[in-house]
Amino acid sequence: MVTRIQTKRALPGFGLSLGFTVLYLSLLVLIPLATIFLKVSTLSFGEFWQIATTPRVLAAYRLSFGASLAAAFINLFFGFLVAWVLVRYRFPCKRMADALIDLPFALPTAVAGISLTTVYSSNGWLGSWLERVGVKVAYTPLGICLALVFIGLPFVVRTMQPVLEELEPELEEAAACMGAGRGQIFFRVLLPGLWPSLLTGFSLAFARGLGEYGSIVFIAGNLPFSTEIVPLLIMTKLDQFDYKGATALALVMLLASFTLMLLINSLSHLAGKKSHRAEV
Amino acid sequence: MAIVLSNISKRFGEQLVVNQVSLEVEDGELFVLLGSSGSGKSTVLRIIAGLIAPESGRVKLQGKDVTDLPPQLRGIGFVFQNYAIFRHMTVAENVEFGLKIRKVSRAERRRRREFLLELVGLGGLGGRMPNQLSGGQRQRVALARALAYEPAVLLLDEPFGALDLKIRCQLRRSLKEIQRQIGVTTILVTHDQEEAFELGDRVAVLERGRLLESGSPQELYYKPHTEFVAAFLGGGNVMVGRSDKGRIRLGAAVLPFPPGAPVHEEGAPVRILFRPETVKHQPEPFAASTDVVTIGQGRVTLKTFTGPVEKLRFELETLQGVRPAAPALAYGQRFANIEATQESRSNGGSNDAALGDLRWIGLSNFHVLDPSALKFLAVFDRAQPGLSAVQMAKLLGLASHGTTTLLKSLAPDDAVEAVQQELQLLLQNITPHGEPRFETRLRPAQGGREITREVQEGYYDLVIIGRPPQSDQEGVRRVTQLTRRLLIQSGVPVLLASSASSSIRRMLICTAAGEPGKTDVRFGARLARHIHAFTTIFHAAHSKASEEEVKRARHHLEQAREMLSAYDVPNEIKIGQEPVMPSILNEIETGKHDLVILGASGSSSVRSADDLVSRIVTLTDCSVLIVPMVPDVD
Repeated sequence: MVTRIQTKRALPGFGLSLGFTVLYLSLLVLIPLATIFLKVSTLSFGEFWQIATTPRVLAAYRLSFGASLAAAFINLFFGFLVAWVLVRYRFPCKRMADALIDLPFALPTAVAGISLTTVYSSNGWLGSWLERVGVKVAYTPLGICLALVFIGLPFVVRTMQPVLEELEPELEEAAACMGAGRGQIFFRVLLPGLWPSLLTGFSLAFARGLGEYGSIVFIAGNLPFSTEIVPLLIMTKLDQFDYKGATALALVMLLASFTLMLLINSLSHLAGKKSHRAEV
Repeated sequence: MAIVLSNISKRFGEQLVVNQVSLEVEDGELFVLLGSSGSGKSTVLRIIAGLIAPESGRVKLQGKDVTDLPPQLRGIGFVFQNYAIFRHMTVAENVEFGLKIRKVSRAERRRRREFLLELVGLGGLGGRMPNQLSGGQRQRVALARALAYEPAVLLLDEPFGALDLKIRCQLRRSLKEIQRQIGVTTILVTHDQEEAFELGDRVAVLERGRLLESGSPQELYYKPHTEFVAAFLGGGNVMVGRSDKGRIRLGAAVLPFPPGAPVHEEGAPVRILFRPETVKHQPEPFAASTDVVTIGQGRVTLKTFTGPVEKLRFELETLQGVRPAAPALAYGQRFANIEATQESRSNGGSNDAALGDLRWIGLSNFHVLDPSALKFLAVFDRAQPGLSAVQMAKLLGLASHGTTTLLKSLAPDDAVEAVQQELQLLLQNITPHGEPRFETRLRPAQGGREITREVQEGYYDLVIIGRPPQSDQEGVRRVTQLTRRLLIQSGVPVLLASSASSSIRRMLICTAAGEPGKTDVRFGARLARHIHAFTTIFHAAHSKASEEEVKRARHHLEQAREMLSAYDVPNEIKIGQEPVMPSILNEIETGKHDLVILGASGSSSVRSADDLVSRIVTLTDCSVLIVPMVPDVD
């Protein structure tokens, strides 16, 4: 037997590893998604358009995308702050705080939804206080947003942490010696280098928000036209054995989220490119 | 004066990292702060920049007190070891950053940037991104960036530390040229002596937060004042002889005091420095007419080719009883070493030294360091039975020609004058003739914290605390606690002096647990040499120790013995049986030892030594010396 030895890599050859990649993507992503297209193709375009654009569905689109976007923005800000604190400071129970960040990953989403509802409903601990100042959280879009913030936080924190760790404190010190104030240091020196990962964290949190179902159904109240999200609508259609309707909505979500993710990722890529400009 | 620091101190937690540093840098001077890692040199630089606030002391730049100003308002350029280049900006943008902050017009920025990039040798590379540059080029950008806004002062923190040797040399030369050309006052921090000498108009040596000496490279190299600087700067031989009838006795050799040498008392230790290149050696004795001072005959034990010169090492038997401070006596070595050089030739001259040759060695030039013998601190405190500490300090101080400080802390209800008077009386008691080597010191408050601070700030070689009698359990507990604190936070040996030992005739060095210590043997040898004590090295063997371990311990003890003999200390070896504690106690009892020496390394074994100490203190009445161990280099 003859073995040809080329450059040694940790994993065996390009052919084999690409083969696995394609197989995995096919089995787990492409084939299941293709069935959506197949199912939808049994509809005529008129039928499809009608199902996908009823006022109730349009309201659900708005809510799903709106709430996910809002939550992702909130997470962008607070997630950055949390990551900064975790990287830059030492304080008691830091490891504990660090571990807590991952909890939304591990917790069954239903549990998160139920506990958030309990705490923020009009007779809950925090909800009753907020009610007095006129803020209703549970069973409103605000509640949905809250659940999505909870779910999305670790995505931003975990993408920012390694990047912030690489940011030497000397950068700030150098800028300070050159006369830059705090604001200038942050916006001119630190932030430009952080954009790509901020965008990645944002898009992850946003994507997770779009697909989230478990934690929202409890806190949303699920009123058509006001607190009904698209995943729930799809579930409702399935419950009524309206498979075609369900897949039509699924397809819209699929295309819309894919387009948005592609957009954000290329933005992030562009921001990354800028800092490696003219690299050959 | 461009930069003036006065009495800068800084602590990180309990650790004193900068200790009363004062320095002045002239306009346009290139000043180098040289020190090993952890000497506090970078901290001093950061304090000047305003990146760290000093605990006490003032910083003046260009005559203006800037101690309370943030770095932004100080007008300084700072270059970091890791470049700290802004990665998302082009080279040009990096250089212009400080100018943009200062709202300088675009045309002026451009002009300035082009001038600086040309100056640092990066002309035409303004459009590159930092990741397209090599390390050396990045540091050039950092330099241009720091000079862009014409700072009053340029500070460089180990700027070449991350670069390889060749680039480092190139950059050094460029830096020197640029600094000359621009004339900006510069402070550079480095641990590299060669770099310091090559660049510095003046060099200051820092050690453990203290500025030891400053001066031109030549002054520091050939005529330092302190042993540390002498040994730190390049290869040097430092030998400790004795002042004897107006001359220096160095083993069997006698040397005259060179003109201008600092005054030494009769019998005091004299430390002389001679650089390898001033050591002469030849097969036959030196003629009396030459101005070479013969110090003896030695054998070549090492010969290394380094290019233009060959490094030689001689072993001199005639220097027995001389403590070589540098090069340090290798552990277990009996004879002093002397470093020398000879010109290297392609095929060896007939008069060249070869390995194993026996040659006469003389000095064409040597320098006498400032007299500075051991420095003792006797803690004399209401909580400690101080008199025994003072007695011990007197004993050691007189024997070693060391200086002794008597420390007393004020209790809240003490009247300052009364305490001072009390101290003066005490001082008169121990030195009726008022010897200048004894002084007193008052601390404003009681407690271990104050004592620790005094030890950290005063750079003592040994702290002496009076130990309570074995029956006083509370007192023993307090003393062991203080001892532990001192060992961990100051790294200075602590002696618990017993009132029972009015003289020290017999010393016991315990090398008990695991690998027997070396630092404690060295320190013990140094003390024993002064007080002429008979020294026993004791090792409690493991009952289950393997053949190999026993052999190693034996070998180590033999080496310790050689070292003591080299210091002219009469000695013996004893090996006891497990368990450790009773066998040490038994040895103290039967051997009638006045002083027991124990080693402790690292905080965990300080704790276990602490345990051992407190048991020895509760079970016997002798004096105990605990030596914190430093990892051995040789």
